[in-house]
Amino acid sequence: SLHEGLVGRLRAAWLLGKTRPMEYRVAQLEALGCFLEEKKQDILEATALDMGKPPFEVELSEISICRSELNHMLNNLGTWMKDEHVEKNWVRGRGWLRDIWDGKHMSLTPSFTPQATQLDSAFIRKDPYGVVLIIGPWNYPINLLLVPLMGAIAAGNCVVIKPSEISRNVERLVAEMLPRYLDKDCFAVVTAGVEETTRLLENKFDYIFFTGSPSVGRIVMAAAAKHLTPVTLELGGKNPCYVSDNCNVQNVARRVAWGRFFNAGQTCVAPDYVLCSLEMQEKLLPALREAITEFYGSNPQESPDFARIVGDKQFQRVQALLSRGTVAIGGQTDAETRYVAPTVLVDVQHDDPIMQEEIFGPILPILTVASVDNAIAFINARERPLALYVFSSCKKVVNQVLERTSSGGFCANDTIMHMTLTSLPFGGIGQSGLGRYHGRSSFETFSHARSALLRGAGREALNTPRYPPYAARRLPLLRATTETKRRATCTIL
Amino acid sequence: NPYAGLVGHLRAAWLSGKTRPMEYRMAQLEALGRFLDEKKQDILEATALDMGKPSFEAYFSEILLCKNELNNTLNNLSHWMKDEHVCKNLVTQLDSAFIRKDPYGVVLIIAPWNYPIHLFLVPLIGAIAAGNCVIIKPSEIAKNTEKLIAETLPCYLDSDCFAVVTAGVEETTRLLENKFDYIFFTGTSCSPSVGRIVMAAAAKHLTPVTLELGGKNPCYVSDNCNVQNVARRVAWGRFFNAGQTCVAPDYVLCSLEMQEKLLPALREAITEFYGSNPQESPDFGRIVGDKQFCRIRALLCSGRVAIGGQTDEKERYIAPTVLADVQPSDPAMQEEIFGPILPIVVVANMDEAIDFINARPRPLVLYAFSCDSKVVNQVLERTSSGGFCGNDTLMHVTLTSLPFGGIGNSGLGVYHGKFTFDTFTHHRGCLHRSMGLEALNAPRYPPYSQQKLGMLTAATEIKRRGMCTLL
Repeated sequence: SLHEGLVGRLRAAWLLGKTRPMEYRVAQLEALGCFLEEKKQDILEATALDMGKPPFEVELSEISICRSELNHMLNNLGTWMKDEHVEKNWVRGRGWLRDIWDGKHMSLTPSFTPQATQLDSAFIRKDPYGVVLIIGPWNYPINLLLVPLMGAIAAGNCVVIKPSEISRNVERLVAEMLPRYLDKDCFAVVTAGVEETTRLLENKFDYIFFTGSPSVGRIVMAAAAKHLTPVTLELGGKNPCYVSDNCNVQNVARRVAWGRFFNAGQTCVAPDYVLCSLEMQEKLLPALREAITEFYGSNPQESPDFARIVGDKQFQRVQALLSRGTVAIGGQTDAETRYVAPTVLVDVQHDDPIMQEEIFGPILPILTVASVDNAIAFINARERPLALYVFSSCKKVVNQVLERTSSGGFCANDTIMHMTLTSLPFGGIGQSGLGRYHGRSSFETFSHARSALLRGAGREALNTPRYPPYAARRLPLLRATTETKRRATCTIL
Repeated sequence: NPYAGLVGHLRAAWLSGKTRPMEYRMAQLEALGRFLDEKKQDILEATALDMGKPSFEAYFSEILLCKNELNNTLNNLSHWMKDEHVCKNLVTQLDSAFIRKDPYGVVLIIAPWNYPIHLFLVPLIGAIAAGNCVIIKPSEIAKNTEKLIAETLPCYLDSDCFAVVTAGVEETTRLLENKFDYIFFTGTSCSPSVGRIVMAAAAKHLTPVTLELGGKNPCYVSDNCNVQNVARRVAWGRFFNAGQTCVAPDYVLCSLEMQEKLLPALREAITEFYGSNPQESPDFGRIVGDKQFCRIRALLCSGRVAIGGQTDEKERYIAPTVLADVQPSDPAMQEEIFGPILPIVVVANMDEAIDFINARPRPLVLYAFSCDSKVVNQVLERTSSGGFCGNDTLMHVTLTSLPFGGIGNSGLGVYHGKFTFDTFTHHRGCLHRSMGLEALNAPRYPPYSQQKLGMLTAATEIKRRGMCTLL
């Protein structure tokens, strides 16, 4: 199969143990940091060419966030790599243990019996998987490639990196520059379109990390199934944004507009649609209009702070979503520059085109619901999203929505921000994905938690209770040394 | 789709939120405890009928270990369920940031026949503890136990949220066409291929899976060891449940000299355990079915029979057997044995043993015996396996604090103890911010400026901790 030689080469390097020492991993991670530093200008230019990304957005969402993840990893790698020693069996309780075994014998056992495994060493060893494949998407082409890569390197794996062919300029940059920073024996960049990626997936990998759409996610998982390869799939969906009547409308408008229009809406955790009452809709519209003007001026097409759609195909798809509903704000498009204005749609029906797919563009539909119960029912009748947003000054309302729904992640009174904390696991559920990463979760995603029990070669007396010939008298002893007792529950009346 | 109604029924119950309260989950778990207590005798009888399981073995592996898991879960559930608050950065300092432990929804647990109670019950404990609804599919091969589970388990659990489905290969394939929110599959001997089928079915719905599969678990015995202890520990692990254990030592790797020392020691251990005629011992199991019996018997033409080798088709008895001078190309080295046969493959030294192991699919467990802890650690360092045990067999699975699972062909995912709860839980990252304090957000809004960027990175970026080198 395609790239068989490459995968074989990386597997040989892994079997040699090259990626195991901490010093090696730290060196590769620091090289990644150099890449981010030295190639920053190239990254700004490439992302600007690919989707008109404003440099500020790139600095924040591609460079700074990668640096944070990298530093967090370098700060903690030593701790994360350590063997985790675990609790061993121990006997609880005092006095006599009554035992009834097979209904015929009742034997009494004293509580000072020796521990079965107290003298042994029991720990969890963090082993790499081996050769990992990371497939990145085009919308945050550096962030969504590099943050998983850091986790894979930190965990001691070799990696095949497949950047998106749709963000062409970044793809070229990554393919030409990244190999200069990383050890070629253990890390390789592969450029591939849909066809070649399918061929690439025929190879046996030891872990596959995929960010992209649910339909391609199915294809990746099916390919992984052939080799029993574990996967993490970061997919997408329609992220609902419920706005209750009890809120600061201007703040809500700014936070929602920021989340929706950042990167011209091409964000997997962007608020996809708003659910609110009719009264709230009437208050939100002028507030959103004000926020959009505050952000991008009276003609956003002239603002240097608003991005463009990545390609013609995607532009046409997004533009077609404007065919139904009423444009309340924006609605202008320009095919030549792939510009779609920051847009808000009202009078949207649940069966309109815009409600049938993830928008992934700068359009915010508002659907009216009568109550929070209706909003929850609406959300639960649909696929579970990657993110769920609730805006309410009332804590009870926030908690109700959190309790009664299911989503990858959740953020109250803001959008996107939950994704920026390295300490929160980031991932989907159901159609929005499986697995999680960021921070320590990245390291753990690419590590196999290997249980290890090291016993002494002697002390055979401890083992005799378990050997045949089995006898009634032996079981209480064995049971006492391995049993976990139920802790007494006291009810204070 | 014959199971659509059942799955729909369970999904409706889950959406109603019935399984969410801790009290509900505890009540169901305690009911499971009563099942184990009240049906103990029936379990011992059913497993004896199915595979001649000695009562002691059944009690230990099917009752006691399950009670351990149950008690461990009941003792800790409230703690595990709690929101986990996490570190925040400057910008989120005043917010609430935590991990919410959410159930997946409707879970499918498919269990094998070799430890037919344990291998559905322990995953079930975690699935219930995590707040899911569950369909339990016991193995049709352990017929008596399957019947016991199907008839009695529903009497203990809430039938709105938990169901037992009996199904052969055909119907299981139909069952897998349904959308589940998690699938937990444990398979035996031919499991890698069935594991692939389960994962492929899961892929259609993007359903996360845990696959507990199998393989050939190598057992390296160095020249520096207490031969008699090794022989007992290896024999115990190999012949428990007549070898039908996914973590049994599958084959031994040792030097020629060690083979010559091991053989008499193994002979002695086997006699000590089962007497001079193991067929008469009440403490030795039988093969579960005719098909499996024939498969294992065919493996006897590998190397030379040094101990045992007798078989009795009527009883599905295969004697505790040790094969010496086995070649890598022999039948016994082509598949997971899953029977009471222990092949010994001679290697020159530890390096050769490690190369032999690394040239093969990664096993569920790896064993190494040596009085020299350096040797044990070298084997651990230079190999990859689901789990590892030095100087014993099987025991690592009795610790609820150790994660149990495979890697590569031996499986994916881990469970036991808290790991089971985590397996069936979606870790939902949550951030609850203030409706006000808008000034904190101002630097991120357009129009963008260098000054704003500086403020933001200063407030959010994680710095590299200073590294001092003491010269």
